Amino acid sequence: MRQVRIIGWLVATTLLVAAACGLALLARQQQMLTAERRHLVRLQHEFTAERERCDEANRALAEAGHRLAEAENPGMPAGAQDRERRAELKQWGLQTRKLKQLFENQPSQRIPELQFLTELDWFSLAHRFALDSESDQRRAAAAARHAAVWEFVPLLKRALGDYVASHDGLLPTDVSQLLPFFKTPIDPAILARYTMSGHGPAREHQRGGVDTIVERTPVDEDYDWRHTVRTDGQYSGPWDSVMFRNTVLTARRDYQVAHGGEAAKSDLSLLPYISDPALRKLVEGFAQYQQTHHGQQPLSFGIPGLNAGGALDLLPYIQDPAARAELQKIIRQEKNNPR
Amino acid sequence: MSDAELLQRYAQDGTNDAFASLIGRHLNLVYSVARRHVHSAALAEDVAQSVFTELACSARHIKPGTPLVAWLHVVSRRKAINAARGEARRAEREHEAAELESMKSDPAKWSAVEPLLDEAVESLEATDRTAILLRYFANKNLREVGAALGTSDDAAQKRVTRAVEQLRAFFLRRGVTVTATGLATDLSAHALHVAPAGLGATISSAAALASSHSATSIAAVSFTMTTLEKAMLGAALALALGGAVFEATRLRASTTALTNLRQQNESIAAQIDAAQRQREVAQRHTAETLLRLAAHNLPPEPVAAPAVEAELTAWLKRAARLRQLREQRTELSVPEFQFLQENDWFQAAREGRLDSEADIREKFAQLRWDAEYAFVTPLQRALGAYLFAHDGVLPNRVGELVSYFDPLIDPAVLARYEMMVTGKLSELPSPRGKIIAQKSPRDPERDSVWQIGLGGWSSGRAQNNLSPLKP
Repeated sequence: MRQVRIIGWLVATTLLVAAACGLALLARQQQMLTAERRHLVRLQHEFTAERERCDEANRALAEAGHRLAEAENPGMPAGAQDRERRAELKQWGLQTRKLKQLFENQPSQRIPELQFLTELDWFSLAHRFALDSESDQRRAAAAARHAAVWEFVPLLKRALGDYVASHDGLLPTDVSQLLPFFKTPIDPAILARYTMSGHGPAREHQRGGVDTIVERTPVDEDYDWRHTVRTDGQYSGPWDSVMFRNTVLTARRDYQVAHGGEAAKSDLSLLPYISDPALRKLVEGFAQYQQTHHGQQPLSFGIPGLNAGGALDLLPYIQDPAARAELQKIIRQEKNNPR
Repeated sequence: MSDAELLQRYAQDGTNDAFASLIGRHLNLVYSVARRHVHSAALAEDVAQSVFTELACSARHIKPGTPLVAWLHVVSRRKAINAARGEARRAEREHEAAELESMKSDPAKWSAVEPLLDEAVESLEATDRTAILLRYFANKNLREVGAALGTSDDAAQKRVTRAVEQLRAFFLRRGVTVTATGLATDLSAHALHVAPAGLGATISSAAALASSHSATSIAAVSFTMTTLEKAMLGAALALALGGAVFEATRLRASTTALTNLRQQNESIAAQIDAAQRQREVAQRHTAETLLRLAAHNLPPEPVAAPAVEAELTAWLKRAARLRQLREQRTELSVPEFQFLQENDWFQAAREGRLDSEADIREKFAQLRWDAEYAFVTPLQRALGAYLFAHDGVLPNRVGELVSYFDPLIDPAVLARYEMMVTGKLSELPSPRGKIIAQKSPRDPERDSVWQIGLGGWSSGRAQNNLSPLKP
């Protein structure tokens, strides 16, 4: 009986000890739970803080990206189309700067009239021409000069008209005399590039469309256009074709003056009125062309008539070497300056 | 005060003194009976406690006149036998059996008589049993025995002697040979054990406790009294088991919660790691962006002055819009557009607006004029070539000129023109006059109508009179 009791007490004690251990374990686990809960709370706080830091970093990144986009595309919202346009604009700007540098690097290519070109004119020119090869650059430079002179010519025409009006219809003997007649003062160096093709009464001189003021010399003979001015108009074209056109028109005028106002029935009649041998041969071929083409003439010369051909069409009619060389120069110039 | 009177006082008043007196009178008897059966002082004490607890509970139910000594002997024996059986079941049965056998082999020993004594006493007739119990178990003299039995001293002597003889016969039947005198001597010497000191007080306390409880409570106390330690043990076990169940439940819940918490913590820790990595990436990209921005913040090479840039931007936008309209608004186009270069379109966008329908129509009218103007020279050259090939005779239809264009053109262009005169050019009133005219403008409100000859061309508003041919 005592053994049973002892065993019972042992069992009970063991169970109580086990229960106590269980309680201790439970307490320990509760402690761990509490610790884990505290850890969770700490982690949640840490996560919240980290999330905020992350959001802040993302905001900083977005802001930096926005600022960068604005730096790359000032004044434009960041967008693919705008970025593309901005890139195009930058490329355009580079091309324009390259064109300007072309004149800075080669001062001989400059003419004072370039000052009349606006920034938009430069951009416009740069957009029209490639600048890769030498011929590209020569063509672009000539186009820039042409555009600049084209801006100046109306001013020159107005000054000429004012001068003639104030001098009883007489033309100035020198272009520099027109300087005071520009409403806005201009660089005298500009006028130095032009020359008077005649003098005396303007109406007499300009009969039949003869030009009064012409550019003196080209910067680039193969590419430059020659500009002419009258009191009632202006004309421009490839350098030597303008010279040929003025030769024909002057001869026609002179023939008409010599024949009491009667126009020549054929340009072959003009030959006595042309002093330059090569030009005389050229006009002779020009007249023969008209005869074989029912009165039509190479239209590119800008000479009043049946304009139905080109300089190249005239070549078979020119046998004189000097005249032929001159025609080939005209052909080359026309080729370099297609309409 | 007799046993009956004490018992009655206890039953009626619950007087502990009365019950204590009864215990004091009969404890040795009860303990002796128990001691003979259980051979264990501790268990004999338990039995004695149990007997007096039952007396306390049954005090009211004992019939008046019943000798308390006899009642106590019967109950003591029964409880002692039950206790011995229980002990025997728990103890080593074989060992005990051997011990009992050895006892039978020595009939002269009191130890052989002792186990059978109570059974022997029980077997006696009631008056004889009472006489034996009073004489030897309650240690009364013959006068007291006679008084208890309601007889004289002599009659009591005879009844005791006869009862001893009956006991000797009982033992003799069970192989234990004893003389009547020897048995009487042994009974006087050994029948009554002295109960351990303090047992009476313990039982009195238990009886007092029993007197203040209901029968059921008394029974429970009885059990507690007898198995107090067992009860405590049971309580301890119950507590331990209940605690174990409770702890197991709590532990399981706690473990689950702990696991969940740890998973949650691991998850959030992973999220923190991810957020940290994301932040680091963002910070690295920000640093790179800021570096690039720093480079951009250096004075950038301006494309042009701000005002010019604005114009250029507007120009580019107009050019893009114009390209778009060129593809979409086919009703505004003319076949002569083939004579325009891409740059012509771009230059056309340099000025003007494309905001309204009127703006668009105006711009396309300008472009059509440019295209038709570009067509004049090829037309004149084709006409000249035709005249040269046909001996100065003009074609009847403009379409006949198609093969004289160099390079070839879209015939659709020629469909827009018609011959104004035909026949031999030299026979015309004015060979430098109008030869070919445009049939109808695309947009009568804005377009010019062209008239072309070998001597020049004219272009004016459709509703206006044409100006003379220009040289």
